[in-house]
Amino acid sequence: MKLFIEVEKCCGFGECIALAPDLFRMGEDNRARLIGAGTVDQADEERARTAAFACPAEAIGVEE
Amino acid sequence: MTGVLIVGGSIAGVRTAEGLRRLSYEGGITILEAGPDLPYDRPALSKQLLAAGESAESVMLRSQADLDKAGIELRRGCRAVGLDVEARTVRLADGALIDYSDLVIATGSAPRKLPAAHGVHYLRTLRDALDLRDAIEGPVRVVVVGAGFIGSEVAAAATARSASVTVVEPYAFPLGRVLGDLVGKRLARLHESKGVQLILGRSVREVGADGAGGRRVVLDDGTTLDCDVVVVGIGATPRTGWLAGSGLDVADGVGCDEFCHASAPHVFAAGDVARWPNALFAEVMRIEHWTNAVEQAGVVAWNIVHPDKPRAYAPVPYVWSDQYGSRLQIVGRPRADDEVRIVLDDPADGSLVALYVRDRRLAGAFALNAPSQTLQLRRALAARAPLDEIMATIGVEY
Repeated sequence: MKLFIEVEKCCGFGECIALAPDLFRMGEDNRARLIGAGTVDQADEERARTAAFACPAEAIGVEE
Repeated sequence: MTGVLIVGGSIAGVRTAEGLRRLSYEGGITILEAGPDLPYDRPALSKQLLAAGESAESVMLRSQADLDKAGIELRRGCRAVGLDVEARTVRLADGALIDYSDLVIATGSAPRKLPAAHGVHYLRTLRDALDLRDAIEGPVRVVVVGAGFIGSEVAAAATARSASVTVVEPYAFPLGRVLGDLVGKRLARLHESKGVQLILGRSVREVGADGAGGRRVVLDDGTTLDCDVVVVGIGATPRTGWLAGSGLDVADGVGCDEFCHASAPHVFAAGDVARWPNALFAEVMRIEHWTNAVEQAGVVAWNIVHPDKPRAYAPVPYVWSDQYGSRLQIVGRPRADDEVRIVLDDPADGSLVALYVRDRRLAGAFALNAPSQTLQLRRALAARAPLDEIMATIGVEY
């Protein structure tokens, strides 16, 4: 599973970072970034989906 | 019908439906929505639509095709008027009965009405927002009643659209009732720096015609304000009228346990309408904010699909507001009577962070243009971190 962020959609709410601080971080521009390349270990998939689903701006996508 | 019936087609209802599908729920999902529209994003009404002037299309949450693809049946213009928890049926305005395996009450809240006020705007629905947007076009005089979130965002949007704006607020400062005078004063400065006139400590006695085609607002001290548009934002009340006689506890919203389960089997509530005990704060809460609706919907979906291993709902409340190009964020449960500690106050970029301390613990925080500190505080609240640890990492007290 792979995550991606459409950074221009991100409004910096930080939902994803609150839910999965090991997968997302806040960029210098106060928009979220992926930590690493966005590839998610199987054990973290449910948390990753939850974080993506929680984004108010719907800026996070999941490739299964 | 066997399946989940969701009453209310706003964010809590839609997210519950989608959450069920995400958890591989295979039964039928029906959403009853009293209004005429497809689901739309409510925060965007005052933020994007009113302030940024974006189109009605830009605030839509889901298309009919999205709902079809997810196997969610949305019945618009369909008002629930009664609930029988024994027979497990919801009665519609036309007398039809719909049965359910599980029911989710997500009917939200309705704006509190100002008594003796005629020809005023409220902001709750897409139509309200479009009407208001038309009304504040051009150099009109706008009076906003209430300096809470809605009132403040409307004042900011109208100012940006070149209206001249006066805000009337019964409390001494904007949001002062929740955030106290220290932060309230700062928010008053934010309004005033953009040319908004604040009339604080006054309430509105009546609103009528001014005899010249406009509106006349009469304050409790007899002052009159003549204007073109009046917008009222004085809070909201949960929509539970249709549940009268159901036997459910609806004293202030639908009373639930920590699993968002109401006081009858197979009945849940989510969003503005739900009241539940939040174990993280040891407090019974009812929260009228977007993030709460989304998070609670996820927990309700889980608890419907997994009744054998239910999850307690214990979030850190979070709300944001965009005003005059600044971002306000509140986490946790700040109260006006908490001890307030300012840990960041930078006039250069207008950033401010205030901690609200109660019983030597962090109870909540307010941040202005400080999103990374807000995130950090949100995590600290979730972890119930000790105050001295938070103070040591967030900055130096002064």
